[in-house]
Amino acid sequence: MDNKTLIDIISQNTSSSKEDIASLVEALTVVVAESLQEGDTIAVPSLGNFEPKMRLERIAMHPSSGKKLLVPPKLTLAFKPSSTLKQKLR
Amino acid sequence: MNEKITLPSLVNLLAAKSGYPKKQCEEFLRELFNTVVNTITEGENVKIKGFGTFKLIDVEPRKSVNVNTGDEIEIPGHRKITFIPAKELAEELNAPFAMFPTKEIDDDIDDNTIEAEQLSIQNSTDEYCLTDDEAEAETTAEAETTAGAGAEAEAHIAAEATTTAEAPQAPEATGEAEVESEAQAIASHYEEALRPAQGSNESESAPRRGPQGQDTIGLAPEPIPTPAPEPNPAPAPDPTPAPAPEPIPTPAPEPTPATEANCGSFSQPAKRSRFGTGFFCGIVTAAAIIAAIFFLPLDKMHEFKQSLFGNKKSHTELNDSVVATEAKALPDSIVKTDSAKSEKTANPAQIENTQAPATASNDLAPTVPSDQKPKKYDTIGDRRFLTTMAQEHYGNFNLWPYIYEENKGLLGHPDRIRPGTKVVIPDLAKYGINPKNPADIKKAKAKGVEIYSRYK
Repeated sequence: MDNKTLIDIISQNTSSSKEDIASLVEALTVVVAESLQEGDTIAVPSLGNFEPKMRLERIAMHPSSGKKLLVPPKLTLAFKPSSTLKQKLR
Repeated sequence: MNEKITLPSLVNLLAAKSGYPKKQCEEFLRELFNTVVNTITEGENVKIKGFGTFKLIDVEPRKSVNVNTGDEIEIPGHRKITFIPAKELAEELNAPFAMFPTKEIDDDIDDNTIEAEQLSIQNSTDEYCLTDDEAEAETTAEAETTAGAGAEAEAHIAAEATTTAEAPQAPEATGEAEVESEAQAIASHYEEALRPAQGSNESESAPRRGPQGQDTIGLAPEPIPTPAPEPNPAPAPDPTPAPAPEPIPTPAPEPTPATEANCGSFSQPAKRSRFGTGFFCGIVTAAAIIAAIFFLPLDKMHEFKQSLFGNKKSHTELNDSVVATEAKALPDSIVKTDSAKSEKTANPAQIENTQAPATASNDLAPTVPSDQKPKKYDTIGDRRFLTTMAQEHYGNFNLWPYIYEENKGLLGHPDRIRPGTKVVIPDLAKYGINPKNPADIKKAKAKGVEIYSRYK
């Protein structure tokens, strides 16, 4: 399901218009990015937790040239599904 | 930081951001998450623009062993959910580390060298609290107290000799060989001075001060004994004014020995306070230098300079011309005029060069109107590098090699300069560099590469 159909479904089920939902989705991504940058975890009961994680620097091999590379540290977003969602999927 | 944002607080944040009423926001969020969960349980992927994609992955059944009983069991196949953050979100999150590129490591570096480097970095960070002055004083103090004084002190001297040899290299390539041999002479002089220290007993105070005292003279009198035939004042009083006219508060070789002598006598009563002694020496050095700057008027410096050269009666006129040329010309031209004369007069000027700490413009200080244009200083900090300074003072960070060159006696590897190190910001005109000329920027870049290659 892509972004457009998602917005359609949400606007059908709520009393808001498509434009409102679209702008809300945009605002949501901004809010999520801001709070994750501050190191906060976002917990959604039905879905799961979104948590920023720090990947340490490491030495990797270049697959084709075989040279050693020093990969810098990185902040990534980790998603951990809630147990209820896991149970539903089984 | 590190808080858990639950649905209600997310609603508040979203309402504040979007400007929609809270009720509508809550309705939207609940509906959004419900839709996502429902679609996924139906087996379809969900893509939210700017946020990411929720994907379903089929896990095939696999065999495993029950850790308690040891029986073979089969884990049934199931589906699991993964989330792939959108590119925009991932980049925004990783912004603090975005500037680090992936670096290639040379083949000849193995894990051991990396570990050793990390250790050395750790060691250097342990000594962060010491400024260069204090560190120098401490090494000398160590040399005093440890039984194996010889080796350590020799290394220390060798380092000092190289810095003195390096100093004049920048401005005058012609005098390099002579200067180096001069530095070697000084180093050998040092070794001689220290040999008695090796043999001497630790408990005796007199021999311990002995080599120290020789150190004090060892640095300074070199310029005087060489032109000795002339009726000079005794070498002992001369070195004491020698440090005075240097208007540079860097760890100059001249001023430090003076305090080293103090340090030697001071460490006698307080045996354990090696650090304290180092600290004390640093403070005394700083005070001496500041006093020298403030209380020595300009004309006295001139007088001193005159007396230094004026002693040689036969070369008085020549010396006048040297002073004149020094006032205008670059250092290498001094060497030329100097070498034109007999070696005797050439020697003091050159040795003064070698003695000058780090900056070559130093020996011009008494004659050149450097006082009209006070030198700019800056201090390295945690977040303040040579590049930051170059950006600030010259308007282009690529020009940092010139600050480095000006202070290379003080600095080691350009990436590992201790925070708190005070550096001189040279006038770019001295190197003939125009920050607006792209060709000069290119030169500066090449210079930077060259500086790095010294430490390979």
